[in-house]
Amino acid sequence: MPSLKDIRSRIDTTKNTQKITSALKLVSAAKLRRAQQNIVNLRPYAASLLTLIADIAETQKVEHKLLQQNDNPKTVLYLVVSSDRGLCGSFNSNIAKFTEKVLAEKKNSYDKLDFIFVGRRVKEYFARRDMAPIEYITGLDKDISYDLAAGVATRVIEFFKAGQYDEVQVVYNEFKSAISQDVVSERLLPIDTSGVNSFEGDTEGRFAKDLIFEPSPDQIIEELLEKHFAVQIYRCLSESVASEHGARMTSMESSTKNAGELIDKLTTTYNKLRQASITKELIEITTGAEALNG
Amino acid sequence: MFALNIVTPNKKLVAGAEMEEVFVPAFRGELNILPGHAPLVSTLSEGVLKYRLKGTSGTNAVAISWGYIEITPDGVNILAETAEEKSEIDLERAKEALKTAEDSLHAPGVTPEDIEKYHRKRKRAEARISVVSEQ
Repeated sequence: MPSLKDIRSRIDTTKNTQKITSALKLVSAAKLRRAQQNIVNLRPYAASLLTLIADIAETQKVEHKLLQQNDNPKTVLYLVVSSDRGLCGSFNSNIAKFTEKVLAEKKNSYDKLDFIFVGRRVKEYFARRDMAPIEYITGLDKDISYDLAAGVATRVIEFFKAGQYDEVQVVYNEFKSAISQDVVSERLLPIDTSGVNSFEGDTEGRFAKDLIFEPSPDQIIEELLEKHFAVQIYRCLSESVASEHGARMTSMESSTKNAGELIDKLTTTYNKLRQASITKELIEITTGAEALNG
Repeated sequence: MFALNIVTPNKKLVAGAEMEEVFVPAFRGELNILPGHAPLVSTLSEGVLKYRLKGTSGTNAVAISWGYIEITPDGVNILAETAEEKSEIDLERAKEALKTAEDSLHAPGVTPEDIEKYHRKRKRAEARISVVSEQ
């Protein structure tokens, strides 16, 4: 039987924990709002970039390595996005499980399967399983910056151009809503422009016949494709960050609720115990008095 | 209709405002675009973009880094990696960046890649400074 003092200290610690979890929840809610805004702001940029690429590629008959579709990839690079911090429910374990499944399924069908890990969590998970990524990127703690994404993109593009990989996939938590996230795998390279271009087969499209390109279409598309890739990576990272805050918000909310329930239960036990000890003391006093009178 | 759109990954700076004229730092030097310009697609370099709203006389300046421009009969679309207006620029920081870039350019043992990098850095810093000091 725990003493009154033990129970009181347990109530106190639970209350402190509850304060922390509810504060974390509020912080995540604020960060989530900002991350969501980020995604919304990015959309027009990403959309017009992709449309222009598709239009130029189609109308100018540009061939580029990043656009060449490959139905039978042999060497594949996975970019796995997790978070640097925990306390966000199943956010990171879902990613880790998904990646493990990919690894188990595809290991034998591909000649080469490599990983780049973004975020500390997934790296630590696989470090325990003796698997090291070819690169590891951290620093998602603060607001995610476009520069960080562009840095990752440049390195991946270099690998791809050097012919080290036929395909680049990204695994991340897609942001559905504040309370739901889905782990998805998306192919980022080669870039798929089908379904974007509304002028398929048309040699002019929305461009006038005498459209001037400075520099040449080949050079322009080279730059555009690289930027597009960077934007896609930035989008995936932003979605992942938004999902992380969403996941943390929900998990902290349920922690706060659980703490509340625990406090209620402990308080009831505490009161019962207090009542019991008072009753016991009363009995002792009255029996003592009875004995003296007797 | 001669409208200007400036879009960056973080925001929409100008959304379809009617223009009198636009100056952009294009691939082959500065372009002055007036209504009725020939259709063109070009990349932009680091520099100062200026635009004059319809019916006004003063220009607004924006410091931009890499981007591209698309001129259509309806107007000008600009996608820039960054676009900063006067109010967003920290002059002290830009001056400092300019100084570091210049120092690094003249430091012994710079590689060609570094020179390229610092040139861009210097141009960005110069663009920011000139946006602030103008007007």
